[in-house]
Amino acid sequence: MGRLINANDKVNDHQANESCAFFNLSPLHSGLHFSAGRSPIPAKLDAARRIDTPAGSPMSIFEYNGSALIAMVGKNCFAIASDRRLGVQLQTIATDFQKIYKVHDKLFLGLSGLATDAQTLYQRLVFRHKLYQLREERDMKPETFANLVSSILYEKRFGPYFCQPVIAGLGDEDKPFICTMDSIGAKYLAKDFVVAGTASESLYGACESMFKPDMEPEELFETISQALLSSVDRDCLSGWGGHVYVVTSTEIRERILKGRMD
Amino acid sequence: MECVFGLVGDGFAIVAADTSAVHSILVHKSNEDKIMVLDSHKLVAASGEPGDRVQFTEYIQKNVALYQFRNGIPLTTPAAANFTRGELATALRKNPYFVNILMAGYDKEIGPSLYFIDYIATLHKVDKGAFGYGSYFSLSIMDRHYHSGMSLEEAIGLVDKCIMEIRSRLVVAPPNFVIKIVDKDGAREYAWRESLKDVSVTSA
Repeated sequence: MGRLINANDKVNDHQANESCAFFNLSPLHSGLHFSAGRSPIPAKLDAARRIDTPAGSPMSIFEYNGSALIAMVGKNCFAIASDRRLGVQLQTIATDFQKIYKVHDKLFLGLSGLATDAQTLYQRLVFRHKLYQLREERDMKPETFANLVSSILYEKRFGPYFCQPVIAGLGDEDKPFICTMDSIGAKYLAKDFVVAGTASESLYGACESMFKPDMEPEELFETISQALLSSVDRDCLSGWGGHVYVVTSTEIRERILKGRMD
Repeated sequence: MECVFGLVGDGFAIVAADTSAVHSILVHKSNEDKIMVLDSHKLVAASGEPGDRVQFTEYIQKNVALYQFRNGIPLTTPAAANFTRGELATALRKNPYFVNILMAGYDKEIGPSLYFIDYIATLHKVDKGAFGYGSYFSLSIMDRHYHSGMSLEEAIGLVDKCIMEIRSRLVVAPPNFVIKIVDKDGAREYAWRESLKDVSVTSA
């Protein structure tokens, strides 16, 4: 099966060490969820973004909190959906964590990956968008916003935000626009759907089989919900329900899904 | 080792923390207070690296006090929580603080609230939260018995259940706990749960 190659998979030891050395902690740090009695993974072997779990096998920094995101295009509308889990490795902390943010009425941003970086990135982007609104006296177009996100991520090329954004919006003449990018800002535009998160491989499969072009909002909602729930059911790090926004030129409908609560 | 947990009840929020100060295999003291009273209506229960814990929480406390002096009104709990997250996030890629925080507060308009702040600056408003090895037990007990709008007696009963569970099931269970509460009357110490009192020098 073809794997989407992106920066997540690359191992760049020297820069990864600087930016995430603090994630490889010795077990003497009390009160933290790291395997007791095991030595940390030697730096030169696999330092890049690996954390010890209590179970022993290392996880990637992108999988620390767990997430699943989809955006899909319909007929003059789009839908963006996320799961609701906030975890710390294998422990679930909350089941109502928000991963999709509204930038303006016709632009939504979903952020998967490390939750702290998602929160920081969201704050920075909202700040930049508000300044843009003050200067230009209008909202940002989705294409412009995607470029902004991409530049902000690439600024941190050698010490990145561990996030994968999913951007969905209605552009000129309310034409739906979706895109995703990797953690250093490589944009991937799509005409049909984009996915991100720990369950991304399942999500690709589910979306590919369930998607059809030019769906009306109600059918789009059903499709995106089924794709999300069936994929997160196969991923232990994401789930605990879903959060779906279906946006047309006239309204935004926000719905909470109840799926397998595990 | 360090067990910190908390929950929100009807018009109050409670946090409990163990009181052992441990260095490797040695217990320095068993009456170390890890829940700081941030201001009149806020509590910060912190766990993690001892030096960072004390330094960082004192830094937050002094900055919260400074805001009140400068502006004449105290910070709300969400504002203080977001400030704390901001400080942790800024330091994260330079000189990170290894401190996990549960911030409990009471605001007149909002009521009681509890914020979970990870050492990597993940912020989330929760009804119940826990850190440390004890979280594996206390979160499960709270998942089973917690419901929103618990009375003080019910909440203390639940806190005691968690402490009993930690004492019986955690291999290096801390002997003593402190419980603090914040409600409309302010933040204060509620009780200690001691199973091992410090012995004074003369009697030894």
